[in-house]
Amino acid sequence: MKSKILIIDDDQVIPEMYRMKFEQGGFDVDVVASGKKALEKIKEYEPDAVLLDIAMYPVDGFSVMEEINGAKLKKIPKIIILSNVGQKEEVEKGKKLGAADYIVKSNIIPSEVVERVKNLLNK
Amino acid sequence: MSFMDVISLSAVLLNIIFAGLLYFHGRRNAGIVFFALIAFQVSVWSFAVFLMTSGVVATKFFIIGAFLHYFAGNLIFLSFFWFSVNYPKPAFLAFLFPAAISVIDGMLLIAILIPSFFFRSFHVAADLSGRINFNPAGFWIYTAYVVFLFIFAEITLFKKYFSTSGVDRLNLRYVILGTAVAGSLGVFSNLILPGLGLYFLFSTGPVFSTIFVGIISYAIFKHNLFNLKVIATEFFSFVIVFIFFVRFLLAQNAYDAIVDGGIFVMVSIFCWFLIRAVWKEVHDREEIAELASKLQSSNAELKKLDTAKSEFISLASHQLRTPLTVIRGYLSMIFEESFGSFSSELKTPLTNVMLSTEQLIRLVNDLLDLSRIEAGRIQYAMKSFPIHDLVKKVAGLLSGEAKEKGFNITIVNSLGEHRYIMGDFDKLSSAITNVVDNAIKHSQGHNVEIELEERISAGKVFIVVSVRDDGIGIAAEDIPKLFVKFSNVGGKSRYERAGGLGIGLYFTKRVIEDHSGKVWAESPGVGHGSTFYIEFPATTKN
Repeated sequence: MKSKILIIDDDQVIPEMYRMKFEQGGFDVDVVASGKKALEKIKEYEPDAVLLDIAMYPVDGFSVMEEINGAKLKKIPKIIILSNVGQKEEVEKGKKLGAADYIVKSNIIPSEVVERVKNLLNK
Repeated sequence: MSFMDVISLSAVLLNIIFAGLLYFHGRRNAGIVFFALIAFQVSVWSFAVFLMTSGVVATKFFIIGAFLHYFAGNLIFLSFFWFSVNYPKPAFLAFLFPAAISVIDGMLLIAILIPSFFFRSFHVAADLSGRINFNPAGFWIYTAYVVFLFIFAEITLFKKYFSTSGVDRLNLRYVILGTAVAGSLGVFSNLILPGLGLYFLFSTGPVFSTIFVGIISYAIFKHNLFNLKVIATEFFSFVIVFIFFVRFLLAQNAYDAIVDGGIFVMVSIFCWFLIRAVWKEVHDREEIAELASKLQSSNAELKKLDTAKSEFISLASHQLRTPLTVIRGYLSMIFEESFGSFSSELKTPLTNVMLSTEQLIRLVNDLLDLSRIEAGRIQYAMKSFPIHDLVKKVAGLLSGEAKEKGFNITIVNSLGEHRYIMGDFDKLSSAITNVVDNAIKHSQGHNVEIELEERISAGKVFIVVSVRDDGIGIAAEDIPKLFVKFSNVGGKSRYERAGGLGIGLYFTKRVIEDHSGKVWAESPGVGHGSTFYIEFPATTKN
């Protein structure tokens, strides 16, 4: 059975790029373009991992994480923050809220992201 | 002339000189003008006390003195009221309320002239209590009104005291203290007690006014109140010169006249130089204070601009990262043939696009680092780690770039793999990457060598990382410019400086220095390569 990835990112192009790479890597992928609908989608899709952007409006990635932490989920996904905001305080905040990994998008290519997620899910 | 007469007349003289000097030096400030007016009115009031209490003036002057005493007494408190709303800066509607009060005051003063309203009659008597017969109603209306003005003015000054700072606050402290003491005693001795038929403190009023002058004088010397150090110097100089002038005029013979005249001239010259020196000192201090204040506000403005600039760079850099992520991501997928194979003719142009994109990402990252450093927001995650791991990571990151130029990065490690330093691994990695990347760019075909050595200085162990290349070298005069932000080494304009903004080495220096280390460069000259040294204190494994 394929692992399921949910990408939460309000950008129009980036999620499609990762969707393609992850699908080629053998994953099932779904995308949600708003922090507002993230929790609802997680409950419905039950992903193994969530790729979460931080700089979203009006509900940012940290708020989504807080919602996830406060919700009763049947299956708890691994949260991987995938953002171009990557200063120490944000990384620390993300980790504190339970992120399994924090990736700065511009510093890493999609195939490396796929590898990192695979490694995480295999742990 | 009695002792109290001398006190009264001295108070007249002191206050009138004080008023003149105040007005002359502070006429641009409404508060100071009212203060000068107060001093003048205290002088008139002291003269009125002299007329009423002195045995040397005729009885007919007593009535003039009595009217003058209560007129001037009233006007002192009216001026004090005006002063309180205008010093140090005029309050809201500073004119309207005191103007309305002044109209009431004028009516009260006219009422004093109405027979039987204030004074019922004057008599020839041995003591003051027998000389004046007040109308109690008029007298207590007058007294209540004066007390109201006094209390209102003091409350106004108190409020200002708590809302101001610096010299103004200090000045207000002495003004409140001086006026509260002198005003309370004056009201008590020359209004309340006489209202009760008691005149035993009546002639001490001028003494209280002298206390007032004394406290303000102390403030002048101590805290430059109203910038009156100059005024006070002039005041006391005039008094001294005046005394010697009188001595000269009253000289009994030619010898005394010559001696007193000579002393008068010398004292005058001395006082002239003294006043000039004090004037200059005060003037210089004012200029320095003004400059310091301007500098402070300019500095605050610059800091604000700098913060805004850093925030803008930070925001713009984050926004730039998103499209760069897409370009680089899709290019990598093209190379990985995620969209199927591509024509071999496209490989070179796509590689060039990829290299340019990576270069752009590095520039954006440099800008972000710069904005963090400038904003003081850079934070370090400190831990101890082997220096070898750090150097190995940097060499690994840049080996591809070196290979493209046809050479290798070699590591010469005489320390072994277990020598530790304390620091932020990622930040130090970026800092050393800048140096090695620089060496690769400038190398002319031979390997770039990274050497790890140990140095002991003053009993402390340091680890030195040296990065050597055989590149274009650096002219001696350019070496100090290397670690300066946006530096223009070798006369290159910013448009010719390919591959960087000139902040890489600046970033390196800041990061290394934040780790208690130092970085420097040496070169035998242009065309003879260069070596960059980075030194850290060694530590032990945690």
